[in-house]
Parts: sequence; C-alpha cells; structure tokens
Amino acid sequence: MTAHLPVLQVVIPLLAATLCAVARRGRIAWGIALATSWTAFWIAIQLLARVQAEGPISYALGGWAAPVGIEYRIDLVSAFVLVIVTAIGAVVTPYALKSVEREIDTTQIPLFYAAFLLCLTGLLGIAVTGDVFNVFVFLEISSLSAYSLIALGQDRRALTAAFQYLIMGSIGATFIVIGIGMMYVMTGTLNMADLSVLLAELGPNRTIAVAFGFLTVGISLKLALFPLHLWLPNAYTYAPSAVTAFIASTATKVAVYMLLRFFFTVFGVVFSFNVMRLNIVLLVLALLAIFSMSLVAIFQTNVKRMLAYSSGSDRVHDPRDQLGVGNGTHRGDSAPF
Amino acid sequence: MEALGLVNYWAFIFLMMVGFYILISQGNLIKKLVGLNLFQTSVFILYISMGKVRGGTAPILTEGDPVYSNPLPHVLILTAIVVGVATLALGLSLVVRIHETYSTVEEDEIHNLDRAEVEGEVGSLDVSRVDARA
Repeated sequence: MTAHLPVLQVVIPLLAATLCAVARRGRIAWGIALATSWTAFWIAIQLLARVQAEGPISYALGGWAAPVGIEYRIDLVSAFVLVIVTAIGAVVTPYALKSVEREIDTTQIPLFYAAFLLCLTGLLGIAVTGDVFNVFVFLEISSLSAYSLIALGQDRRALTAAFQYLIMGSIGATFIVIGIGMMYVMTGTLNMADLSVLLAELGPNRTIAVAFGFLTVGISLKLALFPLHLWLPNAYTYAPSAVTAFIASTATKVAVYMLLRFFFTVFGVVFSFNVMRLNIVLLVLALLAIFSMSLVAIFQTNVKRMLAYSSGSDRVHDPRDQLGVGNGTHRGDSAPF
Repeated sequence: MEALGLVNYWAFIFLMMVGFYILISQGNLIKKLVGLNLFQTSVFILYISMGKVRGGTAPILTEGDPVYSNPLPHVLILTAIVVGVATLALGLSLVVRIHETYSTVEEDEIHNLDRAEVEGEVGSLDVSRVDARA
C-alpha cells in the first residue's frame, strides 16, 4: 500500500471528483471533498517523511520502467510542494461549505466540488510527475477546472475574466506543447531525468534554445509572470471567495515549481543561466513588476483586487530568489517557496 | 529541395501564425475561439510530421523488420486533441453564458458595459452595494 502512495496522491482526488459529480446534494459532495483533501494531505506528509528518510522516490506507472513508461518522481522540492498544495486544499475545504452555499447556485454545488477536486488533482500531478508531456496533461486538467471555477463567481464580470484566463492559459499551454515537441525531436525522450542527460550531451543548440523560449513564455503565462499577468487580477477578483483562496495560493505556485523544474532539472543551471542569460531577463522583469504592481495595488479600492495585484508583485520575488540559485548553490532550490 | 521537404513545418508555422493573429486581432469572442483552435491544431501537424517516416507503416508486430512510423508523437497528439476539444467546449459554453448576461459577444461592447456599471456604482454611492452584500 505505502509503495503506491505516489500514484494514490493523484488518483484519489481524481476518483473522488467523479463521485462528487454524481452526488445529488451539495453537503454530500462537500463531505467527499473534505475527506479527500485531508487524505491527500496525509499522503503528502507521509511522502515528505519518506523522502527525507530515504531520498527521492521513483514510481514506475503500470510497471513500465523509466525512459519508456511514465515515471512519477518525488524529491524534496516536489514533496514540499505537495504538502503546501494539499495543506491549502485541506484548510480551504472546511471553510468552503458556508461560503459556497452563499455564493453558488444549489444545483451547481456538487459540480463545484468536482471541479475543485479536479483542480487539486492537476496541481498534485504536476508536482509528482517526472515526464514532461504528463506535466502538460496535468496542467490542462488543473487549468480547465480553474477556468470553470472562476466562471462560477456571482458578478457577471467573472465570466469575462474566466474567458480571458482561458484564452491566455491556452496560448501558454500550446507554447509548452511546442517546446516539449522540439525537445522530443532533438532527444527522443520525454522523461525529465533522461532529458537532462541527453540535453547536456547535445550542448547549446538552436532548436533547444527555441524550445527553451517557448517553454519559458508558456509557463510564465500560466504563472502570470510580469508582464504576462493581465488575466490574473480580474480572475482573482470575481471568482468565488473559496476559489480565490485556493487558486491564488496554489495554482501559480505550482507553475513556479514547474518553471524551476524545467530550468534546473531539465535544462540545467548552466544552460538556463550561463548560456541563455535568463537571470538578467528575470531580474529586470522582477524589479519592474515589484514596483509597478505595488503601485497599482495601493490605488485599488476593492480589497480582493488589491490583494491580487499585491500577489502579482510578491510572486515575482521568486525569480529573484532564484537568481541566488543561478549564481551558485543548489541548496537554494526551495528558497522561492 | 530541402525547403520542400520541410513543407509540413512551413504549414505548421503558417497555421500557427494565422491562428495567433486571429486570436489577437479579433474582438468577437467566437472568432477568438476559432483563432485559438487553429493555433492549437497547428501543433498537431508539428507532432505528426516528426513521427512520420517516409514509406513507414503502422507499428504492428509482424514477421521481418518493417519500416514503421514512430507512434509516440501520434499518441501524444491524441491527448492534445482531447485537451483542445475540452478547451473549445469550455470556451464556447463561457461565450454562451456571456451572451446570456451581456447580450453581446463583442469584446468592446462588453468592456463598455462593464465600465458603465462601474461608473454607475461610484455615482450612486455605496449604499446599494452594501444592500446587495447583506
């Protein structure tokens, strides 16, 4: 049983989401969501403890070994992300009961919890998987459910905010697929560990540089990295409160994790920072973002919107932390979190 | 000759750019979705082209050693097609909801309606908003 914890982390919320979707009453769906989010939290803690004791866990999905099959790989960073995401899910769910009943139509509540759990599934999937195409699939699971969750807001502007997010998010996702495709053309593998070895052997190369560009822009769209953040303030402002609380504190953080995963594990520090000079780009953008977003936040009258802009300025602190990593140590990997 | 051999990739870039341009330039939400779908679909050509081997068959285990196309990109694209369809369906249903509440699918008009509403809120003091929340 404990050997299968990495996959259960993802499968349990996925199956619970379908249960929620067929539940007749909102309270039953809420009960399922509550049990699931706390179970997921428990599994995440177990995994973190195991990673700390024994080092990275590798799980071959369906018994197919790593380069051929899909590998779930959990190291300290991803275990940490799992704990954060599931902890926020577990904290938000009990509070969501009242908030959701007030803000969302009764007949839609079971579907709300289904979408909520699907979003959780996608976010956890991004953190556990060691396969780049699998990352894309989980990213789309979490994004599509996030779009529908945001559209459930009471204000009609929630609809346009969700639509805007859908357009920008899909552009980002398509960029990511193009980047992954180019890496596959050059190396013939989708496994992250395998990719990092093969890409290092390949050396700097124009196709890989283009793939790197597509991936960076694509993921930056997803994580609303300044100046690609335009969808974020509206989406956070008009979404139901429980959704804002959950998505604002998890979705973009998981995207940051994804960015770090690609920069550090797949492409490697040398390529990302010495060859592509990404640290300079990120430094300038981060500084611009901190000042402009904070200034905009000061002049907002809506509290949720103010927080959205403030989170816009906070998040781009992350790349700055990351610079510390780019300049030297590997240990700082978890600093942005 | 080499340029002709890459015709699939040129088609990919052309379709991608056409889709992206429609997406950016059009104010009509339905047209935006058409552009988005074209943009997503163009990537399928990229993946399918890179897996194709000239003269290759389907990868079915037979006697001898036949030349076969790489099935993996094709399978990946099957997943991407599903994602694309789901995105389009969600996008269209959002447009339906937007049309129900705003009675328009033009981005400019929606923007004007929103702005009018915000100005109305500020004009009529905050009393109405407090009532609505209570």
